[in-house]
Amino acid sequence: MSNSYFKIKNLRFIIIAIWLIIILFPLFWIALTSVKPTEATLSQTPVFLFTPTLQNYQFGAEVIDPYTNEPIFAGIASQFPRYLGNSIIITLFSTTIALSVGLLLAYSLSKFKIMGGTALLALMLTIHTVTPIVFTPALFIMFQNLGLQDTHLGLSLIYATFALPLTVWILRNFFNNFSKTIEEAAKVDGASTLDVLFRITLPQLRVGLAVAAIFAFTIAWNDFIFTLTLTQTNASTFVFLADFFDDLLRVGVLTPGPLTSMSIVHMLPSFIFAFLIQRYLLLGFSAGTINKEVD
Amino acid sequence: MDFGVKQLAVTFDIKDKYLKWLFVLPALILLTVFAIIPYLWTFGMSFYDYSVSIFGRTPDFIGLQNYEILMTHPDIWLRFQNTAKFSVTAVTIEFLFGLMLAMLLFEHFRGRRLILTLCVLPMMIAPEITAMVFKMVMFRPDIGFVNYLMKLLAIPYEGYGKDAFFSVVSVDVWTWTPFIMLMIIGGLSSVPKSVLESSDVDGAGWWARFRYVIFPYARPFMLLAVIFRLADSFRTWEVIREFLEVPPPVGPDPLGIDMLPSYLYALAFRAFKSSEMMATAIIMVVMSLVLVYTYLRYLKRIEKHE
Repeated sequence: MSNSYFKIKNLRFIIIAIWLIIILFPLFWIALTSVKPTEATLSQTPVFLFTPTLQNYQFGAEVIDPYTNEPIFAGIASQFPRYLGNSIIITLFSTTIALSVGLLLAYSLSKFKIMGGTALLALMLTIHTVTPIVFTPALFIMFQNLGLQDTHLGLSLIYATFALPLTVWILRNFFNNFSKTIEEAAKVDGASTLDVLFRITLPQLRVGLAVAAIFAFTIAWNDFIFTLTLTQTNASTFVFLADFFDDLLRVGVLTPGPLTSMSIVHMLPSFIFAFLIQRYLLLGFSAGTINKEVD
Repeated sequence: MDFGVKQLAVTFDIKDKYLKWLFVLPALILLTVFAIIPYLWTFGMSFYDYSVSIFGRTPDFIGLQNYEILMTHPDIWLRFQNTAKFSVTAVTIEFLFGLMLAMLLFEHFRGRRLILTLCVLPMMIAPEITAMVFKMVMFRPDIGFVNYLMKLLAIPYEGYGKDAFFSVVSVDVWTWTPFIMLMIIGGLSSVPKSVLESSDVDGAGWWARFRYVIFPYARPFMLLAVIFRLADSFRTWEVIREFLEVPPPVGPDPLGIDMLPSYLYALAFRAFKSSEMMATAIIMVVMSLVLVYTYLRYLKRIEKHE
């Protein structure tokens, strides 16, 4: 091991450290801003030392305008639990639909020869890739005619549809890799196709189901365009409320505090999930096309 | 439970032939109702003078007029250029950083898994949330952290307004560089360990090792990553919308960052020129289709190769 080897090795860790700082500093800064007292968030020079406060996390409480000390938009702030609840309900519902429907399709595509199966997979990748804005006027009209406008059901079905490509591609990969011999042995023993699916294959594929579910979750949880165009208040999600706060900031009414605390609340579940399925993140982000574990 | 499943299979003693179609059916219904029909409707309506704001009036058939507007209107052409400018700039930077990081991170060492997962976190955040908080705490002209840094370095920088292009590109780079890194690392996992080790023993230089050992394995995945990211960057909307500050303008674009998705949104929901929007949307779909098709063909070739 020569001297230059150590130099290269050190350089390598310095570059990695710099990148980690680039990635993590904004997150740290957002978290820090969310526990700052109001004056500190508005300081022109960054403030690192302050007495932390949880005022921005008292979501149900009234929002106090720092300039006038009057409560403002109390109505909106008290809506916080409802918007968060909407997000949770719609996400759970759409993930369940996408997972069960996607599971059946992925199983069918991977175990049987289906006419037009490849075309169907290509179509789904297209749906995943094209910006959803293309669909919004059509869906807007359709929702009005079907009475789905601003309903939890309508939004859930949309999210399920747009999460379907991801779940199918991911699950198909897990099914394809699953050993055929076990399934065939069970069939020889007289088990039916459904028996094999529910009692042998699925229990072995818990990881695949979890990965698919988490990516279906992100589709619904992170969406903005559909809640903006297809809901008004009743079924609007958490991102919609955050955007409303942002609109207030734009006209200079609020301080950044509430927005950062809401962002932290919104990010946390996704981060926890990312740690749970870290090996399989590439599979999800490549829409199920690259089947490589990164470990 | 045992009984339940068996019962199900017996009650519907369905042959696999029918079962496979039964399994496909629910997905087919969802996709048809909420994706294929809207697609076809969008395509059809691009030949009418339709608007979401008209109630009761039957739209007139106007043939290819919307596409003619599309071809001749400078505003739309400008958005196409901006989209290309943004995508090429962002993906190039992401590729260079992503490649460098992949080279540094593909070999195992303690704590590597943690670093990889930390790198991926930005991709898990809702794009709208990223856009809002970055705009508010990083790039805001008076209190933004980046603006403060720039002031320290004496670089003239505003954050919003005329420097908005830099801001939106850096948000995109921050979010998506780890994707290209992951793709290349994924590709490199197929380099046989023995090859790597023997090149180490042979004392191959850093460059030779990259050029002749790593690059041949990583190349297909680099290409896949770039195609995928290009297609994906066409849909960048949230961050653009945020940095346009006011509701997206439909006329000329003073900031030089308005892209196709934000323009489509403004056309449909602010200017209520829905059918013009749909014609543009169809062109976008075709662009994405070309990329998806290229991607799939290339993917197939790699899979055959392995």
